[in-house]
Amino acid sequence: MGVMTQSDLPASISLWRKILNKLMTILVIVAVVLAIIPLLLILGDVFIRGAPAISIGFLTKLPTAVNVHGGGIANAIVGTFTMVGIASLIAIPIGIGAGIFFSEWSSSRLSMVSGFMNDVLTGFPSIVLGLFVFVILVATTKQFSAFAGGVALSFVMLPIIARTTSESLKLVPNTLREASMALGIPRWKTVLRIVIGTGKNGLLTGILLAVARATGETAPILLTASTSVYFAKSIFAPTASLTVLIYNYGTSASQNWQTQAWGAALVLILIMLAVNLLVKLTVGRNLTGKRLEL
Amino acid sequence: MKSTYVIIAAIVVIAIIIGGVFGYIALSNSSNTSPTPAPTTAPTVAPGSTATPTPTPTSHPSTSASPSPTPTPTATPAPTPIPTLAPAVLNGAGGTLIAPLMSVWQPAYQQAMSQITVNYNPVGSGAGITQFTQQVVDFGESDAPMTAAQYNGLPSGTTAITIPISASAVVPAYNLKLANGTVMTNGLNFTGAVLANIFLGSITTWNDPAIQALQSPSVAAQLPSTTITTVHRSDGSGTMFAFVNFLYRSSSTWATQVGVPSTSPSWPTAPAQIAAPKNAGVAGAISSKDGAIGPLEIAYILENTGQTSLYYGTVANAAGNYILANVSNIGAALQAGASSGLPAGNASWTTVSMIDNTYTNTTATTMYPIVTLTYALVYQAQTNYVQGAALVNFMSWIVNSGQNLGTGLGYVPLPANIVAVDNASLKLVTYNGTPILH
Amino acid sequence: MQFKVLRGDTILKILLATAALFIIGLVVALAAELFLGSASSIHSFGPSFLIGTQWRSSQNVFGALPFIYGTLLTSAIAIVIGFPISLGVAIFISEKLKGHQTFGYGLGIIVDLLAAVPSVIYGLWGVFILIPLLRDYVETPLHNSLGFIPLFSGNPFGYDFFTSGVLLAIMVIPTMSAVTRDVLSVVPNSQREAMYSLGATDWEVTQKSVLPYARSGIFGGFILGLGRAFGETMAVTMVIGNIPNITTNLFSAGATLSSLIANNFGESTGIYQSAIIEIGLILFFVALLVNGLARFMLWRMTSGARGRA
Repeated sequence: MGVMTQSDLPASISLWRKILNKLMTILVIVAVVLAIIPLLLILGDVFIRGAPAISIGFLTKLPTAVNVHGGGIANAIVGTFTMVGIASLIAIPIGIGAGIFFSEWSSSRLSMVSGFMNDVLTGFPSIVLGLFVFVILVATTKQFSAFAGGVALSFVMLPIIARTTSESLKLVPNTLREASMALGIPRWKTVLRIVIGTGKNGLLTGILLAVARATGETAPILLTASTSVYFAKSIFAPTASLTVLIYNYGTSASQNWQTQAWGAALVLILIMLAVNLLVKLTVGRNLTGKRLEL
Repeated sequence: MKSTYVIIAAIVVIAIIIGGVFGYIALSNSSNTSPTPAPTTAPTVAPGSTATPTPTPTSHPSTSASPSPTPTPTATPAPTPIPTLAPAVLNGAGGTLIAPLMSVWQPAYQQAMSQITVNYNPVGSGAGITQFTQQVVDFGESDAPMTAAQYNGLPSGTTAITIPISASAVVPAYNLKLANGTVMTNGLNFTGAVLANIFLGSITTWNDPAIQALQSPSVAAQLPSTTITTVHRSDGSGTMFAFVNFLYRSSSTWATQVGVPSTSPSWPTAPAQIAAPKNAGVAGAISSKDGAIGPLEIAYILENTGQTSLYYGTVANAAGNYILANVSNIGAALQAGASSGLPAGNASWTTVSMIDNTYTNTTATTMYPIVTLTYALVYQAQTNYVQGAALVNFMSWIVNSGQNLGTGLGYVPLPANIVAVDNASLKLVTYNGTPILH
Repeated sequence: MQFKVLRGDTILKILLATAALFIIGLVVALAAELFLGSASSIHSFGPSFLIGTQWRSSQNVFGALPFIYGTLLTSAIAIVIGFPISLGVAIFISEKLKGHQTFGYGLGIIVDLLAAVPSVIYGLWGVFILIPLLRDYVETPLHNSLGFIPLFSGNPFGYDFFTSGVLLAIMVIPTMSAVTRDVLSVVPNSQREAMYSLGATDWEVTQKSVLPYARSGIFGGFILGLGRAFGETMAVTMVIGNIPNITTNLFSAGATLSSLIANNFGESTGIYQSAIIEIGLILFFVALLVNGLARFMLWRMTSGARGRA
C-alpha cells in the first residue's frame, strides 16, 4: 500500500510531541477498553442466559402455554423478518434518496430543512412513532398488522439511513465530482457513480445500523403489530415479533418464559451477527482496498 | 451504467409502496375486517354507530344478576353451547397479570374449539381499556374496573360488559438482611396501618418500634437499622389499585394525604423511593436493594420461588390474624368479598373492589385481605355475529371450564357466586338486539 | 445529448427531493398529531405546564419541568461519557488498526451488534448487573470521598440519573462509534500523507488532519447518538427510579420525558392523556432546539475552518 506511516519518519521529533503521541495512543486504547467491557458483559450475559433455551425445537415450534416446556419462537422469527423486510423496503430507498439529496444539494434550502427535520426525527422516542402509526393505520382499519408494524419501523430506520448516507457522501472529495463533470459526464451519472462506488461502505453501515435498530425495537411494534401465538395468515393480521416476545416474556413472572426471552434475545443477536458478517465480508471488504483508486 | 437501474428500481419501489399505503388505507376503510361476512345485516363500518339498539345499561340491578347466596359447584358446563361456530379470530389486549393464564387458555380452548383462534397482547390494563374503547380488539382486559371517565370515553351508543375472569392477591415483598446476617424469609408481619406509614415515609427504618411490635420477639430483636426503600410501579396497574385501596381503608392519614385509590396513585414522598415498570421491574428493584419493600402480585412470587432474594410478609386481616397469602385463603376472601353482591355485567363496575367488602369483615377469619379481581371487557351489542358468537363462547368457556387451569400458577378459581354473575352477564350480549346465548 | 443530460439531472433531482420532502412531511404530520392531541392540555394549563415542578395525575396537576430536566441531564451524562469513548474507538479502529484489518473488523462487528440488542435487554442487564456494580464500586466511593460536591452528595441509590446516564452511554456508543469509524475510514489517505510528509506524529495527523476533515461526519454520529439518548425509553425507565425530581445530586432517582410516556401513556385518558401527549410535544421541541443549537455550533466551526457553507 502507498500509505506512509510514522515509522518512515526521521527521528527528529521533539520529546513533548512524542509523549503527547504516546499519551493519546494510550487514551484511545483506554476508550476501547471502556467501550468493550460493558459490550462484552452484555453480550456474554445474553449468551450465558440464552444458550440453555436454544434448540431446534425452540427455533421451529410455536409458543406453548407458560407451564408447558418445549415451546418455540418460530412465528416470532418469521414475524420479525417480515416486519423488518417491509420497513427496509420503505426506508432504504427513501432514506438513501434523501441522504444523497442532503449531500449533493447540500446548500439548497430543502436540503437544510429536511436534514434538520431528519435529525429531529432521530431524537423521537420510537413509542411516539408507534403511536402515530397506530392512529393512522390501526385505529382507522381496526386491525393490528405486520404491515403497520413495518411502517412504524421504517420511520425508525429512515433518519438513520439518510444521515449516514449523507455523511459518508459528503466525505467524497469534491475534486472527484468536478473531475467527473469536467469530463462531460452528466451530474446524475456522477452522483450515482459516487454513491455506488465511493460511498457504498457508508451506505451499508447506515443500512445495517438501521436494520439493527429496527430489529431491536419494541415499542413501535407493540402498538401496531400486536402479537400472536400462531403464524400470521397474512401481513394484515396481528403478528408476533422477537422483541415483543422478549418484552412480554422478559418482564413476566414465569421462569420458563424468562429463559425463553433470553433465548430469543440470543437468536436476535445471532441473526444480526450473521447478517453483519455476510454483508461485510461480501461487499464491505472489497471496498476498503478500492476506495482510493476511484 | 448498472447503478442507474438500481436507483430507478429503488424509486419504483418507493412509488409502489407509497401507492400501496394509500391504497391499503382506502380499501380497508371500506371493508370489514372479519374473515367471514355477517349472516344478516351489512357490516357496520363507523366505529361510533352500532347497528342494533342497545338495552339500557342500568335496567338490571343486582336482582337479576345477583349471586345466589348458597354456593354451587363451579364446574357446571357452559349454559347453552352455541350450536355451530364459524371460524373466527379473536383479538384481545390488556393486563399482564392474566398473560400466563391466557397462554394456558389459548391452546386448551383451541382443543375444544379448533375453528377459533385467540390472540392476546399483554399491553397493560390501562392500554387494554384504551384499545377496547378504540374498538381495535374484540375484548379488553384489565386488573382494575373501568373508571367513570373510561365509561364516558366509550363510543356513543355502546355499552361495556364487565366479566371477572380470574383473581389474585397482592403481597408485601421485601429483601432484608437481618442484624445477624441471615436473610429474612417469608413471614414478616404487617398491618395495613404500618404499611401505610412505611409508604407515607413516616416509618423509615426496619427497626422502627411500630414494625418490631408486630413481630415475634426473636424476629423483632434481629430487625436491622437499615433504611427502608419503598418500591412501587411506575406505570398504572391493578396491583397498585388493590394495594393502595387497602392502605386507604386501613389508614386515615393515607386517606387524607393520598386520596381516593387509583391505578396510578400520587405516591407520597418517602425518603428512599423507587418506581419501576411492571411487576418484573418492581421485583428487580426489590431484589437488588437491601431493605427494599414493595407490593407484588402473588403469582410473580410463586413463579419465582427460590430464584431470587424476594420474600413476602403476612398481612393482618380484619379479624386480626396475620395471614400469609395462598390459594385457599385468597379464595376465602373472594367468597367473602363477593357475597354482598356485584353489579350487573352491563352496569358500572367503577366502585367494585373486593377490598371494600373484606377490610371490615371479621367473620372470615382465615382470609387474606389484599385480593383483586381481573376483568374481561366486551361490548354488549356485537356488530358481527360470527365474532360475537365466538367471543361469547370463549368467555363462557373461560368462566366455566378454564378456572381450574391456573391454580398451579397462583391464580385463584372464581367462587361460584362470581361465576353465576358472569354467566348472567354473558347472556346480556346481543347481536341484532337478540341475546347470542339463550 | 444536451436534452438527455438535462432530463436525467432533473429526474434524479426530483426523485431525491421527493425523498427529502417525505421526511419533512413525516415530521410535520407527527408535529400536527402531537399538537392536536395536546390541544386540551395546552389550553387548560398554558405555559405553566412547562415550569411546573409537580406531576400528580390523580389531582390533574401537571408540570413538565422535572422530566425536561431529567432528559437533558441523563443525555448530557451519556454524551460526556459516550462521545469521547466512541471517538476513541473509532480512531483506534480506523487509524491505529490500519495494518490489522481483521482485528478491526472483529471489533467493529462486536460494536455494531450492540446496536441490535433490544433496549429491554439493556434494561434488564442494567437492573441486575449495572445498578449493583455502579452503586457499590463507583457511586459509594465517589460519595465517600467527594460527597461535599453537590453532584455526589446524595446517598448512593443505584436507581438514579447517574446509572441512567451510564446505561445510555453504553447504548449510544455503538451508534456513535459506527458512524464516526466509517467517516474516518473514508478520509482520503492523501490527507494523512500530506501531514506525515511534514513530519507529524500519528496523533498530530489524527488531530490536525483527519478529525477536522471528518468533522461534519463526526457531528452526524454525535447527533444520532444524542437522538438515541433523548428517545431511549424502555431501558431508562427500568433504571432511573421514575420519581420526578429536580436536583443537582446525580445519585437521586429521576424521570425523563420518554420514561413518563412509556410508563403512563397506555392507561391515560382525557386531560391526562392530553398532558402526556404535550410531553411528547415538548420532547419534539427539545430535539428541535438541541439540533438547532448543534447545527449552529457546527456552522460556526466549519465556517471558521473551511470558509464553505
